[in-house]
Amino acid sequence: MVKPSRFNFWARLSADRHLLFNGVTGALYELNDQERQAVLRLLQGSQQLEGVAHDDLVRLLYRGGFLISDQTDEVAQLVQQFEHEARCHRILDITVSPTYECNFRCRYCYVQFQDGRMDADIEQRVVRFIGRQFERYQVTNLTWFGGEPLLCLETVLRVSSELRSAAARMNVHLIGLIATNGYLLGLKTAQELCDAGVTYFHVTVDGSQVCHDRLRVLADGRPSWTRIMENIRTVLENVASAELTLRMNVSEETVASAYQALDEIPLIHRGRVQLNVMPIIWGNELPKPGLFHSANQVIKYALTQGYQYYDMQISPGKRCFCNATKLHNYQIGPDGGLYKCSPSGKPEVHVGQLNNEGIAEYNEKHALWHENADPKGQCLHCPYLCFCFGGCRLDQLRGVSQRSCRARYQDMEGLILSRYVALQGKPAYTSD
Amino acid sequence: MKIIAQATTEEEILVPISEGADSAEIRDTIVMQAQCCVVHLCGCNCSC
Repeated sequence: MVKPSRFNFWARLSADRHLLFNGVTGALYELNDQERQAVLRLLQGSQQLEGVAHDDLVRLLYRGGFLISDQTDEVAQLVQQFEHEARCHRILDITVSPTYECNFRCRYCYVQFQDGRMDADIEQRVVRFIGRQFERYQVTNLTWFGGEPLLCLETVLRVSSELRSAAARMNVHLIGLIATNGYLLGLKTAQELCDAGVTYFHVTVDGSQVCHDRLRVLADGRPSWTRIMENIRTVLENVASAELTLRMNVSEETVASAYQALDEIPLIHRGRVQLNVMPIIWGNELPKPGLFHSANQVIKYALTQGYQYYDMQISPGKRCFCNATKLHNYQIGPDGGLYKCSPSGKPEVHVGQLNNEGIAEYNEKHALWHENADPKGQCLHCPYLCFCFGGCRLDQLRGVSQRSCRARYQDMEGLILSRYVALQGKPAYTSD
Repeated sequence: MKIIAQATTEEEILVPISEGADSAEIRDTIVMQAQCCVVHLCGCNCSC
């Protein structure tokens, strides 16, 4: 006997074409009106289907995970997967902030810009700490973050190079990334970073020049758009191994200008650029539902213009909301502090310290992050459990997890349509 | 009915990294997953 999955989602593609998506398996089917009616009846338990072979349809839907065995407890399986992901040695994610200083003062930024940069002693602690983890992992994501990490370029290069050599000796695949505002990402710097194994660049451009320069200004108030765009184009043109994530933080006032920014990157390079558009959250004020829809419209448009697909919201296989819930994943601060998230304004996230030997010494807060962290309560009844797995752990610890957990799924149809375009739609630009 | 994407199997999603599970094939799968997960931090206050 079978029953419908709790995690089936519909989206309308056109007047008579529909999409059926399963959030657990990632299966995506396109149906006409008649097929949709048959599937709806079948999912509701009907055995009488006009014009459709009942057994064939059941088989097809079972294969996609839209129908499951009535013995299957999907929620229990998801909780089990969450717990496994939190403790398994699949992928190690370490973020290193060599400084919290920044050469920008973005209007919406929450970082407190403490002075201080990572010194040679802490660099070696970081190298020893991460190098020791290589024994247990086969893949490590090393992300440079800040503040602005390029203010400490030498640290980034030294640590990345040392770890790259150690990873090669131990047959570990090390993926290097850097989240930068892009202002200091000149050609020479980009080449040096790629040579050190840091090949993924995450740069924020908040829409058109006018919008961006209103929000993302240098510490002395000067605009930044022209130089950032010039850097981006130069890097894509001259550094073949560079991959770029173009981050756009949008508000209701700026989201329309995102389309203009997309035109700034030459067609020929867009296959190496993925777009991440996210509504800005100002303080405790949540974005309106329409903004999520507008952001998804930008993403869908970008996919038709040759940009890469990027989706961290409805990806099957994610298994957790955030890497902070994974037992061995940390951010490391300039002083060797171990954090579960960017620490500005979040004392709860400081969970330990690297000692002189580069060994983690945890404080009492470390256990809080990983004990009793599995989804529970209302989350077990939520249709989006398969994507968020209980949501932000910090929000859980603060008792405010219900505040915003569903916000990003308000335009589920838009998310599904983007996935459809990425999988099905042929981009306007192709290399041939 | 047109299948745009078939179900991702557990084997594809959760490759267990246990003792001796280090074949090139598994590695490629993990690397692909790792690359899908990159750049999750943003520097703004959007909770991502």
